[in-house]
Amino acid sequence: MKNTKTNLLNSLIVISLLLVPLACEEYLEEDLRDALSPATFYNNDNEAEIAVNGTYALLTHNDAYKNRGWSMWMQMGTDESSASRNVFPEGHNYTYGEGVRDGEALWNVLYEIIRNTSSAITNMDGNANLSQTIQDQSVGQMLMIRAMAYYELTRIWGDVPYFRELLAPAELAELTRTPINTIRTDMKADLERAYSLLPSTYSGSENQGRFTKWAAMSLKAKYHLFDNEWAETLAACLDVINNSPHTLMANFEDVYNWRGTTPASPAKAEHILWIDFAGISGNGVVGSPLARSNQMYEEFNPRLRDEPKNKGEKNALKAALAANGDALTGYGARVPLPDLANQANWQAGDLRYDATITQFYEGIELKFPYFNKLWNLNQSSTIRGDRHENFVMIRLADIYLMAAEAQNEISGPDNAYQYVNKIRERAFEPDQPLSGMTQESFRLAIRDERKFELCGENHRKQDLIRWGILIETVQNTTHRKHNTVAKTNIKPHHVKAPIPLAEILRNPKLLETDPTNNGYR
Amino acid sequence: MNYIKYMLSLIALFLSFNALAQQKTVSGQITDSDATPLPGVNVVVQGTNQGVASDFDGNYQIQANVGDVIVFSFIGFETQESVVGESDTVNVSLVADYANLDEVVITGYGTTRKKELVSSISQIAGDELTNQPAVSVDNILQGRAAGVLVTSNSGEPGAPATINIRGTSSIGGNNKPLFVVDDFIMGTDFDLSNINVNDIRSIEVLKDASSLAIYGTRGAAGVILIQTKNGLSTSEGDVNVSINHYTSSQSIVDMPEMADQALWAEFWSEGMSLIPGADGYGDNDPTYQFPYDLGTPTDWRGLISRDGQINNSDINISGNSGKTNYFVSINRFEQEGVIKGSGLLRNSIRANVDVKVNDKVRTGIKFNLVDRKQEDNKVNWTSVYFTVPAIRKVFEDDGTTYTSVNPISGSLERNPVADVTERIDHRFVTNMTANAYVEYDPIPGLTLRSTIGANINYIKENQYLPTYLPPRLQQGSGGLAVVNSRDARSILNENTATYSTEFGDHSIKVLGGFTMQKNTSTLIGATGEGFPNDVVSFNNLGLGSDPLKHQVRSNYSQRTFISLLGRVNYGYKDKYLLTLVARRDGSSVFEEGRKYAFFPSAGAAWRISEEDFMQSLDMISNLKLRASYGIVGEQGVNPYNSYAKYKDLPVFLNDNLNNAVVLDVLPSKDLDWEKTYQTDIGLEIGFFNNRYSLEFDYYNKQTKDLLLAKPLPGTAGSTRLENVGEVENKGFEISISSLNIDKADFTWSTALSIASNKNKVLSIGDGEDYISLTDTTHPQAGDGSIRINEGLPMPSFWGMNYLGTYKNRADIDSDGRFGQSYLGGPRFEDQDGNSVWNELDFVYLGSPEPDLFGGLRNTLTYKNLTLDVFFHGSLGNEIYNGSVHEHFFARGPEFAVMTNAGDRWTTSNQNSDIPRAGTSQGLYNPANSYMIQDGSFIRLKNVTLTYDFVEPPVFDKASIYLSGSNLLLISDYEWGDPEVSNYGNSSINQGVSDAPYPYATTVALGINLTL
Repeated sequence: MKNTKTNLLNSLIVISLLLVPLACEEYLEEDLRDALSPATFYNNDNEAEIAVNGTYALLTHNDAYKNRGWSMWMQMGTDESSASRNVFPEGHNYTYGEGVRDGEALWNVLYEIIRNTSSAITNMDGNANLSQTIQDQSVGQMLMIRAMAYYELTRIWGDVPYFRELLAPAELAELTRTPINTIRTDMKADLERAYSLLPSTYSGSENQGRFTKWAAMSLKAKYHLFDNEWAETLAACLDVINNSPHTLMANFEDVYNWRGTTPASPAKAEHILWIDFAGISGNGVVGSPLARSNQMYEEFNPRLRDEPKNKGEKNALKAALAANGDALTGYGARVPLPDLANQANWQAGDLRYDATITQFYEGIELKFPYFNKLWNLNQSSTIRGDRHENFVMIRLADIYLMAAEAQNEISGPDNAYQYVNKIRERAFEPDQPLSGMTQESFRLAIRDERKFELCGENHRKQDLIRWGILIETVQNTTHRKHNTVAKTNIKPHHVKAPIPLAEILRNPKLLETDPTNNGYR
Repeated sequence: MNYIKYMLSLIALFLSFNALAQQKTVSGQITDSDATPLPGVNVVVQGTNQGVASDFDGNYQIQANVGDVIVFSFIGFETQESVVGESDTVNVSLVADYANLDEVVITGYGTTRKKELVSSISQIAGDELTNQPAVSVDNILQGRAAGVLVTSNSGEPGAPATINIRGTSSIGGNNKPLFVVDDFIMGTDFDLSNINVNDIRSIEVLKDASSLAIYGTRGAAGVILIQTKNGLSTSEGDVNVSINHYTSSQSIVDMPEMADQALWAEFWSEGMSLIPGADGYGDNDPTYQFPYDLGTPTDWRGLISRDGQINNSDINISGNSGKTNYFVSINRFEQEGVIKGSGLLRNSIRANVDVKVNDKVRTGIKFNLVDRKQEDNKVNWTSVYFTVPAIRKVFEDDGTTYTSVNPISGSLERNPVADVTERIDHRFVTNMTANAYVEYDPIPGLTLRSTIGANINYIKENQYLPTYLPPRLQQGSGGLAVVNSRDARSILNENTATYSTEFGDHSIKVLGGFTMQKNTSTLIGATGEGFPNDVVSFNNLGLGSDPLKHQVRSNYSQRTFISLLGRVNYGYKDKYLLTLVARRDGSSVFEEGRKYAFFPSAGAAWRISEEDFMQSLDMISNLKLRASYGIVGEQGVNPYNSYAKYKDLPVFLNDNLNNAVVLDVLPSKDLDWEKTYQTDIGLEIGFFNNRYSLEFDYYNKQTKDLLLAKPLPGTAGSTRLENVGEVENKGFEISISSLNIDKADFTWSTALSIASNKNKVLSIGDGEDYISLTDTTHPQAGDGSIRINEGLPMPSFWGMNYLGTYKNRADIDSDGRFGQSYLGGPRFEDQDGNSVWNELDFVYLGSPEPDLFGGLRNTLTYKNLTLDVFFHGSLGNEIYNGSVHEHFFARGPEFAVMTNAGDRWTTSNQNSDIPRAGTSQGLYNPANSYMIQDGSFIRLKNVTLTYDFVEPPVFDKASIYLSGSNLLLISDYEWGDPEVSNYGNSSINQGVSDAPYPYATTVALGINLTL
């Protein structure tokens, strides 16, 4: 009996040992369950929409329209502003170069935008799974956003690698620089198409912040402006002026006046091309994907420890701030330069001065002048690290001034006065319209008008480059004590940025067309 | 499946044998060479499972046939064999063997005796670990196994150490060893704090290809086998109860001092007034006013640190009834970290049971359950150390509201005191392993074994930031709660057949096996924000009332393996030994058609001491030469790497949260395993019955098709996983052990292990000269400071040569630095002479690889006292000191400055090479030679003094011990502890320092009782 049991037991064990799970090829198959793949995407309107949304998220990326990495090429080292102290000297003093603040992070995010938009355009254009409305809107937005990326790339670097379809990584890694004209010609055509596809306005609060056909047309106007294509510039501007729902604000100080805005506040009528920031800092949650704070606006706000001018008034300043629910928690990193801050250099009676620059807070004198046009000291709805002020790239006043400039270049000032005077109407009371000028004096007047109307709004440096006067301007500017070396450091090659060193090291072909790398080697 | 057919036919063949013979009872006494009886000697009839142990008087009795060979084995003695003749009595006298050459070594899917070992395997026996108050196994591996470089990364409770066996051989794959616990493959990410150190019976470290190839694609970075205790050490019929308790206290050591507030203020009031000046060479603006108010400095470090404490209690019960043996233990470990609010509480249960069902069948289970509660470190020590300024107060003037603004930067920042007091941040980890086996011997010599086991790791993370925590209070953002639940499971089935036999002078052992493993992991998590008060915290996320900030997330990943393995051990006359190993691995992470790989190896050994011509040399008791060659693989890449994927990137449009995706990192294509070709030559010598022994190994590892997340140009994407290049690791290992003095009352033994590894990148493929490992601590130092560079160790540290300060205007002019550099400012060597300082001017400055590392252990016993002293050290490794960048070159007033700032260049001290205040502020400051510092050290790692009571009352054995850890550090490195890795144990960026969690000196008092 015992033996039988033992034998039975042993047999069972032998059998169980042989019952090894049958190994099939399936056991090693991979099954991606927790991520979406481009291979199976763009089957319906919702999928198209979330792909489009992703590219908007990239615009608010840390290295894009959010902080100094971008504004370095738009604003630093001009006659307009500097930091209250020695910060970001590479930009202000022209000591940047290959491998040193060469814009690598900005370059990378711009190409990430281009890869995403190009892939989406290829997949959505003519895709029968999408409704016509969504297809048009989506393709239109993608063309627009891609054109924005190439707009920045070509302004900052000139000739850059160019592609319109998502190529294989190996091909993307070996691109050479394409002439700027080829890229810009294509982009203007893309923007024309985007204009035809995009709506004039969007319905539904969840769609405010998407780019409209007027944003596309405004950007197209900028492309033409930078290429000195005056007739096309004028046509695009006039289309926006005459046909868009955008209007000039009655009072200049209302154009920004961020005080009291909330993330849900509607965009202002004058703002045409702007990027939505929600003011979510993600504080406490490291790497929160929701972080969407607009850091650029911290630059305009003062630092409490710098102020006030007379240290004895510190407590009075603190009390005044507290009474208004305000605080000085900024970087103090975009302070108007002395010449711009000096009212004597503005035309007498220019109402914009007080709405643009101040050196006082509630009557207490401050040590530095500030752009009160753009600052927002109020703590109730937006605070440091949590700023939701939208970033405005193009507003209607800019379009009017572009129209005036283009018209003057085409046929002199006669037909151009109407556009610039529209802007001057609200700048002066009583009106002080321009008149009786030569083409050249009007040209110079427009340069000043743009400076006073748009200062602090990231136009100045590229305008100076466009007019060919950056270097002389920097050399003739009174800089702050810590930036005096800018005058001797600036060289002709500084009108363009060097292709980032890391990029050249990974793709040496970028030196093929220009071994000097825009004059930096 | 063909192999099943083979197995069936094999079994059928063996089952047809049936030997029967007449048995008789053989008895006798076993003694040592001094005729002292030896109890507990194993007596086995060779080729059978028949075995007994000698009794207290050394007597034994066993059934055997005439002509059978009886094998007598006992730890510490040479195994002896005796053929049964006519006589019923066989008395034997065993010869002492200090090297325990008969000791069993675990080899993975089997065991062998040390003397028959063909491979390079380091063994650490459990008794070496007795009375060591160590938190986890990595701590005790340090310096104990030759060629195993163990580097603690931080002093944080529960922080894993970096374990590197024979050099770094992978870039983007994995450099961590594979952990196998009681035959269960835990993987490379196994958390060693899941094992109670007192449960460990032995640790084996497999190092050469001959031993590693049996683990195929998972063995390239080495394998660590951990065996836990069983009841076999208890005499038959006995039950042992053992109690061990220790209490220790910890205090912070080796932190660098920084300049006090007065010096900082002096430095920066000068630094912030620095302007180019009239001539452009640097001047100080006399009108500048220092904007900060100095008050009583706040001692942030003192406020958040404390003396730590550890309490550890173990109780284990083991028994052996002959048919069944068991080992059951419980452990409670409690640690309060040296930073307030951090700590670890661990409770664990282990139950190991083996049962002899009958003569042919055995079964058993190993079970381990661990429950840990980890209080995560709630402050950023780096910022407390270097950037939270002493001029900041803990509380506002009201004395209760935590300050939220850093007065220097003006930004809203965390308040370290509030963090350690108010933040909730902890995790519960439950780890369960159960692995059951059944073994069957259908015929003598053949054993079929099948195991099935599972490891389940469940982690629950809770985080809550209360409403009043800075800067939440100021932002009015309410409370924030995060809950994450992670679940990782691994199921392993292994089936092996082992056949061993001897005929004439030949012995042969054949192993064949088939295994399958499936690992899955999932995460579910949610975040709620905007809690109006702190009543419910993370227990009710629904009350987080801000819907815009709600987040939910989940993920899933799976990885599977299928493997066939085989090994043949052949011995001739016990002198010539040969081992052949092969494994064919299939892994899911590779694309179709690339899933399988084959890894063969061969090893041979010649026991020269067994040759006749050696017998006259009494002095040499053991001499063995061994060599092996083989291929081992590495597949440590993430699952789904060949899929093109989107990643989520939600976007706000006008205060509405929208779903959104963007393209993720590029998919890999045609990816293959890394292959490491390893040659090993070893020599073992023992003198005077192995009282002095030496083991030497030389190895050469060539790794090809390195897996690397290769950085791409920004036009193409960020990185892409590729097979790139080759790397070489060559080195040697020496272990020496000696019994210096062996008297009745006094013994002194020494164990020394030394190793050296030379790592060299042979190729990184086409294209670039080097690959920059970006994400260095200080991005302002630019890319390219940590590289993978052909012809150099991996990684290599690069930077510009620091030449001291600019002492005259002519140097600034001749360097072309006018307008960029100022008098007293740092001067660097401009390699290409274009006056632009950048990555192209970097030169090689060092690597974290030591020239030599090892450990020295001395054990002295006098009567009932045992003193164990253990040093370990490392020579010739460099540290990339990220802190220097901000505190020596003084990047801005936000950072503390070094104590030597008082000796800086000033207009009245123009010879100093410590840069002038303000000359690096905000500027690009290249990584440079000043940052690369010698990290050599010798550490008195542990001293333990044990007293064993003579005939203690009640207990069979009782001892008390006093143990000190990390008592003394000798090093030129002045920036804290040289054992650092800012990037943890899985990065290849080793040796980067940026003020990690501080180390502590530990003193423990413990008691050990056995009933």
